[in-house]
Amino acid sequence: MSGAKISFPHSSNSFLRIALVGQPNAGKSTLFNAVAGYKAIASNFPGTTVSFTETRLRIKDKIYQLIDLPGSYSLSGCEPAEKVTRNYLYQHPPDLIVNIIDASTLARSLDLTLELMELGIPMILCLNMMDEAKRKGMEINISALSRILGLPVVACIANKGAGIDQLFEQAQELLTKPQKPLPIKFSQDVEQVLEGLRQALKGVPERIGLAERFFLLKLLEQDPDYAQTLNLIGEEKIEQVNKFQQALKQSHGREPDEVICSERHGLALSIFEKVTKIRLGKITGFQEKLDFWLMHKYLGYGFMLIILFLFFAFVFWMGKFLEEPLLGWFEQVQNFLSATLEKSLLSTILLGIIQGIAGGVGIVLPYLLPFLIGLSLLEDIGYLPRVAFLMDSFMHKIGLHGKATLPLVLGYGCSVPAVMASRTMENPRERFITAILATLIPCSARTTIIFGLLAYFLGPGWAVFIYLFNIFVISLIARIFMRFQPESADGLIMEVPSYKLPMTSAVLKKTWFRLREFVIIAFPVLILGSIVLSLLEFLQLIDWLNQALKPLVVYVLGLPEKTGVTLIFGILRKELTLIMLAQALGTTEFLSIMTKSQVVVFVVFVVFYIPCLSTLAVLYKEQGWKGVGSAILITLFISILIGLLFRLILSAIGYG
Amino acid sequence: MTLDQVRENQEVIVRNFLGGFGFRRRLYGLGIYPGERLKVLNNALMRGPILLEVRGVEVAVGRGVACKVEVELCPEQK
Repeated sequence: MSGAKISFPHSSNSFLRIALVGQPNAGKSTLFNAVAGYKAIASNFPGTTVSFTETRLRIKDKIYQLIDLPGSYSLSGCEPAEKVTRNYLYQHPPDLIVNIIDASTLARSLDLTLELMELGIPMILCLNMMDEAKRKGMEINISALSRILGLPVVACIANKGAGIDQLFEQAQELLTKPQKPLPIKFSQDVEQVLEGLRQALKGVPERIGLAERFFLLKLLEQDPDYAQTLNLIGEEKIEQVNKFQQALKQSHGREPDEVICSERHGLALSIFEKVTKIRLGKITGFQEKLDFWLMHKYLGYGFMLIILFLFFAFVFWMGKFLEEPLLGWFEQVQNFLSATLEKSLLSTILLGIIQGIAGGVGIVLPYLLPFLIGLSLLEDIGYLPRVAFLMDSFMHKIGLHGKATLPLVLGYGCSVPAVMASRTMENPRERFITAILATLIPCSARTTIIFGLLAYFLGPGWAVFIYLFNIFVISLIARIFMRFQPESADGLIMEVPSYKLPMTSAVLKKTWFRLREFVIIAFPVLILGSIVLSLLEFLQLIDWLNQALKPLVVYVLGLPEKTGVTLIFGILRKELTLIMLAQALGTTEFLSIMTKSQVVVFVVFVVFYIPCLSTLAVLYKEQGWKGVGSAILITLFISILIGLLFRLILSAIGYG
Repeated sequence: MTLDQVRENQEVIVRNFLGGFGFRRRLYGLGIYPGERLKVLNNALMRGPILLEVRGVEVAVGRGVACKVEVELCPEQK
């Protein structure tokens, strides 16, 4: 592991690089975190939003670069994560690939192994989750597998730390004596076609800089991305490629990509059968029983509601428990400072900084921390894919599919992780729509406003109504999106992993990583925003702002003029709206100044209008300016429209 | 028949996919190939996604996906 002497993060080219590659859920990240500790640096890959993580790794006094690539079922690049993995592997070929396999899904996982071997990069196979395989009744002959593949194979149980040292010792050994894997041969007629193509395209793969066998197979597979490289090789050669594709198609009666994939899969199955003794090879009875209830077509929804309710109850309870002492402490610091310091520009900035930190640490973290712990727990247990399954039909009605459920549910906690989670969606359209919709879900901060204002002053019925109305509006917007960008053809195709007992260390580490990601993105924004607001106050620009917002606040929404500035604060942090409202109105007895209908309009507007700065920051990271711009325009438009609508309806029916 | 018409607890063999390159590759990724045996664990007929067992692994596919997977009942169940 990295020690104190290592300099971050410049000399990245001087170390040998080890890439972790495997199918989703094979335990890559568990393995990575087991060796990376807290040193992992999240980096963004150019052109996409799916990231990979890297770290320094010390094996016996030598330092390596370890890269955790996103989970990929194959190197076809059909999903964004696969594209990242594939582009990384051939734009910066690592010195060693560690292919991690969930041993309990060996038959299917070997497909990727065989495809990776075609790249001609030294490789080591890591059979993870050996305990799970045993539970399913599988016995794997590791030495036979190693012999057939011609690769070193190490068994391990990454979440218990078993076999990890051995894996990296083997890796080091292979790096000192690098050996390219020998590809396993397909059936004779396919090999003949391949040989013919090789002769016809002599010298081309070298010129493009790709491993020959990998390149030729991708050409035969008619892989859409490789079609572009065809332009590089000239028209006459393209005809050659077509000829060989046709040959495969005719001899097998199927598309060439089907032929090659089936060849690979056939090889994988035959290897699997040679090295495994299966006594059961079935889903365990426990999982089957549990899924009967949890994924039941009717009862499943009931269990889902109970589980989500418990989850949010936990978050609110923990959040309140943590928030009060923290806020109290920060208030003391603030009071002390404002009492001792003279009012000057500097002290104003200092107080702004402290207010920013107080908001981040005292208000956001108390809710985010239990939320992320709970989320990691649900995730590690394996419940979230079940939610996606249950919600699939509803999501189709609004032009998305089951996988969009997770980001939207996350939105009730905090929009930041919700927007981040949208990257699991397969295509750009779904990623974009999911990210935008997620910002419209009332997060826990907006929930405090709904409860603190509406439920407290006008009764809990109003709060329930707002939540339902919010879902209605979101569905409506999603349907409008559907008009403009029709639903893509593919629907839900998702592995439902087996239930696992969550490991405390894994849950905590995952929470820590996500928390850090949030802190890095959001804290600078929070602190900067707080400074700006303190300055506004110092320079006495608040009245000026209220004047500037008057047309919207007073004429359109019919709210008291003083509430204008609270909306600006709300963009900084939603909870601030409530705090600032008390400050702006000079009382917490809001009904003495605002009418009931004004309270309703105010809350409705706050629930829907512009996402907070932290959310906009992640939106920028995930979707660029297009995402930020669309989110601001859409939310502004909706919130003004709905605010006006509520004002008119409430006055028409003569409500308070 | 297509996968969406299969009843719960019936086992089928995959015959053909009525979809393009990306569609096939995503199913391949989960081990669903022509010739592979699947068990339908959960299928609320006419609506919602379908839960399958593929070699000891649970896989969920949307109804739209299932409509594009041609299957045949395993001989012992006909």
